[in-house]
Amino acid sequence: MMRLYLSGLLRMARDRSELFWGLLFPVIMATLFFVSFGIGMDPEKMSAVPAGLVSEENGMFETFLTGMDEGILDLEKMDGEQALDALRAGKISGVFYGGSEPSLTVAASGIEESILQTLLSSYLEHEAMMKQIAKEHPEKLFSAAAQLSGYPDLLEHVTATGRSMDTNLGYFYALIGMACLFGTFGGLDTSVEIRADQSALAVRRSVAPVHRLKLVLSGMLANFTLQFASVCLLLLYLNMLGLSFGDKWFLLLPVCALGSLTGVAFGIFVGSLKMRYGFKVGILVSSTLAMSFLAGLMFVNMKDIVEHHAPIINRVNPAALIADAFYSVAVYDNPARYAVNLALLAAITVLLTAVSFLRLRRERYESI
Amino acid sequence: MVHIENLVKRYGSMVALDHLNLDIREGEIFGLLGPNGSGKTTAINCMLALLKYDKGTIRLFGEEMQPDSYDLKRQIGVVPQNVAVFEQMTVRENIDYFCSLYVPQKAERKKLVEEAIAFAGLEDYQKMLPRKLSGGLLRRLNIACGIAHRPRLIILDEPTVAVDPQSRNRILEGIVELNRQGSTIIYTSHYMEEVEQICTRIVILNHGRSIASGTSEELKQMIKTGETIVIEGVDLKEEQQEAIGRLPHVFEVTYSAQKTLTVKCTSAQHNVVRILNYLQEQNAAFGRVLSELPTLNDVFLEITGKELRD
Repeated sequence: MMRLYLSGLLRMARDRSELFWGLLFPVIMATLFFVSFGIGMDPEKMSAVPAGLVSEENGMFETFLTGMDEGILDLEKMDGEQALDALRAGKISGVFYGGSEPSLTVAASGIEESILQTLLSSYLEHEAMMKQIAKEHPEKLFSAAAQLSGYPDLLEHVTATGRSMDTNLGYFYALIGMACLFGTFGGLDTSVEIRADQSALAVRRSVAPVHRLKLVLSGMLANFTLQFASVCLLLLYLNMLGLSFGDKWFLLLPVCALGSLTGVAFGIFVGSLKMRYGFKVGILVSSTLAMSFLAGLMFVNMKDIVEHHAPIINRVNPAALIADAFYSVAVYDNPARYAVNLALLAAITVLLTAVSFLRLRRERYESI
Repeated sequence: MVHIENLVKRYGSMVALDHLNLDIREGEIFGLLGPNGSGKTTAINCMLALLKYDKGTIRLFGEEMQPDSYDLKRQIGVVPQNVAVFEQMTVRENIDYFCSLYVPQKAERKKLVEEAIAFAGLEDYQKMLPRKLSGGLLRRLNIACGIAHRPRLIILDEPTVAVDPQSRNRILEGIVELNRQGSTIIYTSHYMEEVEQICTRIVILNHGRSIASGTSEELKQMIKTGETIVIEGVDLKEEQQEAIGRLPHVFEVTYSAQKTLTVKCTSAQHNVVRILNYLQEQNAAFGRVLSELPTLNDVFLEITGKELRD
């Protein structure tokens, strides 16, 4: 068994396509995400954006800005010249100009400047509504402005535990889910190398005096080892880029381990089905992408939308379970939810492995 | 050593093996000869308990072969028709891996792997990956992976397909050597020359049925043709052709537009001399004269009415 396992590990470690999809592709995706969303995703490390406010009056825009959470905006009222000097000196990232036509002056382009621009756009977008409220219900203007200042929810969520997070973290959790599921391709090859009606290699292995279960388990373990190592390297890479997994990061390792095992088991299961190899690859590619999409890889709110409309999908989607387990540890600090996610992943893995073995142990075929 | 009785295998309505009977004795190089689709590989796969079959019994070493007959499997080596090696492992690692499925002891295996490498002439390619090997070397690796554990029974399914003549000769010599060392060989092929060259006994398969069996000589004696005489560049009138047809032991005369005379005779002495004497008597000039002994293709042709290579 150990010999089979080690030789399987050796073969997979030398398989360039396996290494690309299992390790390099998620790393490339992670890099692209960071380039898109910027470095410094950890809100605990993110400081309030310093900005100046030049305004003679105390109008709606000023109410909106001053009502902003202090964790987001560090606003200081200045005169025009003082504000521009501070901007040139790099003491502030931008200058808001109040009045009838609010505007923003920045000296560079970056994350902080983007946040200031987003705030201005947010206000301008709702300006007409605010004016209408001021005209019809002036007494409600302050609370409306306060509501509008809730817009930074887009930038910050506060959990029940008081821990803040960036919603973009969901992309990275879904990416980790997808990386775990890439073990499916190694699992597929394990199956194909066991089914004598699928490959000449399987014929040769089938006529050897080795029990099928040994072949399945050794292949599964070798795939799992490589996949788990790849996901751990991905976590390390993400951490190096600045993504924090919180104090209980070690709780994420069982999630990655079980997630990788689920991926491999899913690949073995699809490989055990009687259909052409290309078709099986198609099933794996499309299902892995679909599961990652539903877990929020391409649209971070997708997981919540699914939870609202069809929660059962989130309970059986391994990518969503992996992402949710990450949320449970790094954001919500919810051990019960974490345990449920792990239990569901384990159940899916056991089910897939059992069905696969029942299919693969059929040792005589109708045709080869 | 191998006993197959009334084996029937159907793929839907198509009968792949039709009440096939085979008896393979220890020490033989047993040839399964037949055109593509005649049921050779199907018979092998049934023998190895890979395929379900509809009827019949298969016994190897006196026991019924089952998928979990590990003691029987340990004594068998298989060289499949398609090259079956791992692309990510070197030549040596591949041989060692497949040998390890049969021989777990490292020291013993090391010796066997060395012998298999030497046997297949792969000493200079041990550290190469299979994709770097030529077609002939790949076939030799395929064989080395199947025989490294020194099995009592070796099944080779068309091992020389798409192989250059040099590698083919080496493979055939190797098979004879394995037999000399004590292994019983089952060799399937649609190349009659190979089967004729190395096999001690042959079964000819057609449409899943055994249509003839015996040694090469016995098979040839089963047919009428003992000698085929071809005379090129000869000018003959119709009555002269008929006269040749009446000569002793001649049973078929054909004359082509290219002035080539083909005469089929039963097995007898001086057939060529008699025909040439007749042509001299008739003052008929002629070119090259060829005398061909019957081949297994003639056997197949006479029994089935079609060429073995069809």
